Amino acid sequence: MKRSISITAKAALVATGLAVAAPAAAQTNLDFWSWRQEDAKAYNEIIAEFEKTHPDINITYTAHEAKAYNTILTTALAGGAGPDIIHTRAYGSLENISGAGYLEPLDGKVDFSHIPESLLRGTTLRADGKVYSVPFATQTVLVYYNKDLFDKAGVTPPETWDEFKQVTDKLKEAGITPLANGIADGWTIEVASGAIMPNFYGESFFGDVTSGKTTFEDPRYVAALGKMAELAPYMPTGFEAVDYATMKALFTSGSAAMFIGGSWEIPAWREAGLNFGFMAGPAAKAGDTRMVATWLDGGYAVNAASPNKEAALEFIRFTATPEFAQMLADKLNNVPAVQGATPKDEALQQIIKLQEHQTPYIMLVAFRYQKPTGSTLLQDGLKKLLTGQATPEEVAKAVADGLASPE
Amino acid sequence: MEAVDFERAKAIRQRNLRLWLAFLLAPPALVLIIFVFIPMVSAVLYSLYEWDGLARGEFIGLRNFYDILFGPRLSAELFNAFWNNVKVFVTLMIVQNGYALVLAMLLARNPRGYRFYQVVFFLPVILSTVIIGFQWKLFLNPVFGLVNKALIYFGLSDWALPWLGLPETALPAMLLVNSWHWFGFPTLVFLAAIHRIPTDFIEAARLDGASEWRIAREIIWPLMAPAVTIIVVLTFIGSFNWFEIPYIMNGLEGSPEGSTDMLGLLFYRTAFGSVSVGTSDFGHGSALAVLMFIFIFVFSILATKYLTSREVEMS
Repeated sequence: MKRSISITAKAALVATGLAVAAPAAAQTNLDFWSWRQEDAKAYNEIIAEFEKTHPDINITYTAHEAKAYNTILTTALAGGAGPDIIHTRAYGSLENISGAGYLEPLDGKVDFSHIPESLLRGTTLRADGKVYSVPFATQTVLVYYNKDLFDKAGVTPPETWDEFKQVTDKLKEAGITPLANGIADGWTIEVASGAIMPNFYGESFFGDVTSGKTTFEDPRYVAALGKMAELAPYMPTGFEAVDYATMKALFTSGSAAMFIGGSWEIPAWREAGLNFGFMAGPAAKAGDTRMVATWLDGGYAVNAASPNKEAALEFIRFTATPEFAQMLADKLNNVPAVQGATPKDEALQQIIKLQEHQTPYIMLVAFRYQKPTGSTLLQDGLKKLLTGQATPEEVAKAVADGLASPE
Repeated sequence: MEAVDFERAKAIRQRNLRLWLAFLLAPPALVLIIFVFIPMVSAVLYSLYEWDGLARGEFIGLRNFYDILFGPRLSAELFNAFWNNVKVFVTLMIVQNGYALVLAMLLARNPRGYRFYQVVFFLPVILSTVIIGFQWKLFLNPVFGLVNKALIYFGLSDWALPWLGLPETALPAMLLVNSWHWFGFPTLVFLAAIHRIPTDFIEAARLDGASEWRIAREIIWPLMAPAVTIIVVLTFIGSFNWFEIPYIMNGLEGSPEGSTDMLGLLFYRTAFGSVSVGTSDFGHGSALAVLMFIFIFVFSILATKYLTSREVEMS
């Protein structure tokens, strides 16, 4: 409403020849909500760039606490409020709000030509096949290692599973905790499985299990779970209670030599002044390609109830351009979902190279649409597996059964 | 005339009083309606519908309640959580309130430094639960934590367990933290109740040669019954609504292996979902909240009735 008024006002001014002396036109104020508090500075810079070419739009970026973001957002939307521009998650979490009609469909309004089909699927509502959010960045599961500790123990980054186990044994002998990972926060162990398991269950398993050709009781998956169980001895003492914060503290303090985690950790390692490198999970045997698990982290959407939809769409269109992708890469060190950017950062370039052999991060991408989610089941199972309370077969069966009988 | 005026003045005074009362009561009543009654009624309504994410679907009657109580997965989680809440209540009654009772009895004898102890015991109560949960989580950390460092220092490295990571120790550890946080409150309430008992009762018993144990059991204990009623009911409500400490110390999933799952966590998880737990489900969540409310409400009233009936009058 405000915007159309300002346009009319401008037109009137131009018509009367007063345009030169016109004061700054009335502005459209947009609210932009996100869960990325650590990115606020970079987003404000990106927004400032956008506002340079759109002087009539004024965007306010608000980041909520990540854990509570879903709750805050869904409560606001359910109450008929919420921001104009919404930083959404992808897959099941997105369907939660797009399925309820809170988001504006973007097909035909935004140019998606720079975004790969596989990533657009993460922001498409399965029920109507429409895209509701512009994919923004991908995350990749990596195995980080501390170069100084590797030198101290006299080991080099392992290529295969056998080498990986030799390296961990040598680190242990040198009195270094090989792996910082613990299991207290369930999601961190699921992330770790994203580095180890795909190289054992192989490239075709994802397609087979999502198309219903096989289930999680498939021998390939059971074998991969067996490898996860072998990680426990390399984790810190008391790994049952080692949570995410402790994991990070162990790795940044140089107490643990490796950390299996997402690509979003890089800024934290740099800030800690760590001499680190990273690689894909080890291959099952020499000569196999090493795959990394990736997923779409989320996207940008427009609130269907926003009074300033057109202005919000203008910003959303901007997020689908290579120009935006370049800023995302350079300012936020994210691997952009929108293609066509050339990141300056070396680590980012290396991740993009690792992504040449990628596989979907299985539970998030395909099994978080129902309750219980594949993630809940897998996290429960992995905890039991690593504490020796369940066999790989039992875990596989629990996951398969749980997915077969939704609540 | 005078009498009539008097009557009128009285009527006006009464009307003014009523207006004044209405003026004073309206804001809290409004707040109560908006923030208590409407959410309660809407929770009941929500629980009768099918929900698809945030979209309200069809009216399905008591189906959500049936799923929670008898559905294969939800009911297993419900009864696990409920059983844990029962454990919490029993443990807190014995450990936290029992300890408080002993302390109150001791403090009631006016030991040296009585004031000092009273303040010290009450200090943790005024700290924020978030701070306490977080601080104890750090103390109990398996790698850097004070507790395990101390155990190792004293040569007890076998005892240096990952306290919050084992299903056997996680809940007891959290209950000790909660007891540490709250024991000052029942102590103070019990102490006040003991101080209310006229000293001549106790002195008379002493003159008659009654033992201290007998005085405690037959005079102090029955006469402090009203305080016990309050503490039991508050502990009951607190135990079945227990949320902050488990959430802060072990997260939304009630890990490890559901050993610290509580009705409150289950409700939050079901209704709002979480990043990895899944999508929000207001229907089952609201139904669970309604069941929790009914259970706590009914049992609190029954408990209050029963406990009040055994209180003896002091005359």
